Amino acid sequence: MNNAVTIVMIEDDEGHARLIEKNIIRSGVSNPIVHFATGGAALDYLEKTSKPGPLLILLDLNLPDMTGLDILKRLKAHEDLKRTPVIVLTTTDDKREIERCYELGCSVYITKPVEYEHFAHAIRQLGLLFLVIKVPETS
Amino acid sequence: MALLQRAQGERERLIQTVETQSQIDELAGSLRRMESGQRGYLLTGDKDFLAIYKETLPTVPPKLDAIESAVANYPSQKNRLDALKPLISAKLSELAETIALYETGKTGQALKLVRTERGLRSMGEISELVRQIKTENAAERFSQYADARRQERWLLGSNIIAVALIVMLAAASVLAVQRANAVMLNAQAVLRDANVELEANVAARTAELTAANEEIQKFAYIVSHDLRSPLVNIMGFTSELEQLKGELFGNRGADASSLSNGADPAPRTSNGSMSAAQLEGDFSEALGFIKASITKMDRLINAVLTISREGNRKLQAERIDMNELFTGITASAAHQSQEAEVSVELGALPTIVSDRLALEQIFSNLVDNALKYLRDDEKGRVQVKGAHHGGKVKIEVKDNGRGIAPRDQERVFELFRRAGAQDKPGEGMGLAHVRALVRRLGGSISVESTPGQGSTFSVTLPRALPNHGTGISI
Repeated sequence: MNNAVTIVMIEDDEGHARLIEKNIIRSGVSNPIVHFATGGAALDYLEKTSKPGPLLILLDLNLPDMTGLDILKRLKAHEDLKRTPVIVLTTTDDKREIERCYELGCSVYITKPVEYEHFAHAIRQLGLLFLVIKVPETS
Repeated sequence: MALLQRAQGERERLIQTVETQSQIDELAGSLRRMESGQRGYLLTGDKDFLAIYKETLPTVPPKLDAIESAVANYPSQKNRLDALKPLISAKLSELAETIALYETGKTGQALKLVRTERGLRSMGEISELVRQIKTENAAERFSQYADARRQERWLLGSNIIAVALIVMLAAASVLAVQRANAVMLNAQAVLRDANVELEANVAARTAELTAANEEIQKFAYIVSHDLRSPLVNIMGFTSELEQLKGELFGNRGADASSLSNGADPAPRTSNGSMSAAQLEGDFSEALGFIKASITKMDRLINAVLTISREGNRKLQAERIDMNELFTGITASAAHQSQEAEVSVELGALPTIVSDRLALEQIFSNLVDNALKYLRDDEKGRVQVKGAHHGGKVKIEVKDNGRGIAPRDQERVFELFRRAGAQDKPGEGMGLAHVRALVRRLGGSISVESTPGQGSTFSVTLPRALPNHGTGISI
């Protein structure tokens, strides 16, 4: 993956954030990871930072200030951000929730398993995906 | 009634008086006819006249008797009758005498007798007395008639009063009925209002219950999700620790004596501190317990999630042949039953309208339990029976397995509770799930069991799925 690509992680749980980060790095991805604990701060950063360059967004659905679905809607309605790949990484494995996310335009939906080996494996696979994924250049 | 009887008596007396009158008339008539017959015979010698006399003669004494008995209660009339009687006898003897004289040829003598004062006067006196009796009788009759009239007037009056009373009573009862009707209508209106209110109350309660139930569902869902989030961390960092442990003690698996960091390989038991091997063992033990507990907690959370999710699922009613359903269930459990050498017998089962998925889950759970909890000393035998009970069907799943102790028979339906020897894998959620499902389908489930002999689970379901809201699932 292009070194210029920034990974934006929206995750309210510090522990989850740390585990995700660790495993992404272990998979060999060295891109900068910017972490936000609230949806508001993340949207602020995404919408106001001019030309942040190519982005990839990791999104948790259960956030204290707004739901991940709201954020997803906002991102997909945004002229510059609508093409940015959004990877939903959450504990929810509800069928309707998953469907709803894909309808709203998320690229990948991943459930966080409690079993750590599975969790680590999933994140590393995701890291491998990051390595081959082609992210659109923001104009 | 007394009035009526009195009127009746008056009427009888009146009739009596009228009869007396006619009898007196007849008596006087008879005497006159006999006299005419006698005179005609004496003048003409014609036997026809004599016949008249002879015919009439025997009628006199009975008439006299009748009159006598009729006037017995009237002293004045009786006196007159007593005076009349000798006159009549005299007259009769005079008549008989003249006829006898005539017949013996003494015509002149007979006629002479007729012409004497005796013949004339006796008849005149008779007539006078008869007139008196008649007048008295008529007066009597009149007074009786007046009495009767008065009586009748009384009767009429009382009748009118009675009729008036009846009319009043009728009016009163009509009024009473109307009042009762009004009260009843009022009561009905009140009842109707109460009914409407009751329905509204029931609807409101149902809505409240549905809302409360939905809240419970949502609550279970949210709690299980939110519990899962920290579990991911605990599990994640425990695993990280485990990796660190590997780095600390050397990542060589079972070779615990090999230590990392080039530390002293000899156990430092002399000064009380533990050897590296012991440390690693304790480390592993602690991490193992933590991980096992997390895994168990994750299973429990998943169980709650499953039930909560099942409660949220929309039921779809369709026609289901239970024979077919059970055939499917036993076919998919065939491997299990063959391995355990359990025979499964299906009786004739009914067809019902219900949710297929729920029924499959209910009965495959029951069949699964029956195949699972066997006795070591006997070959397993599972029997499925069905029966109709009015608008409901009852399906029994009977086994000859280990059974459930009486104190556990309610407990086995509770979430995460299990009974008997814990020698088979399970979360303790099967029957809790089954009961939640049965209730959602509008039915009930019960168990009869004798420890060491077997259990019979009876599921009663409506023949057709009722209009369903969200059933209570936990």
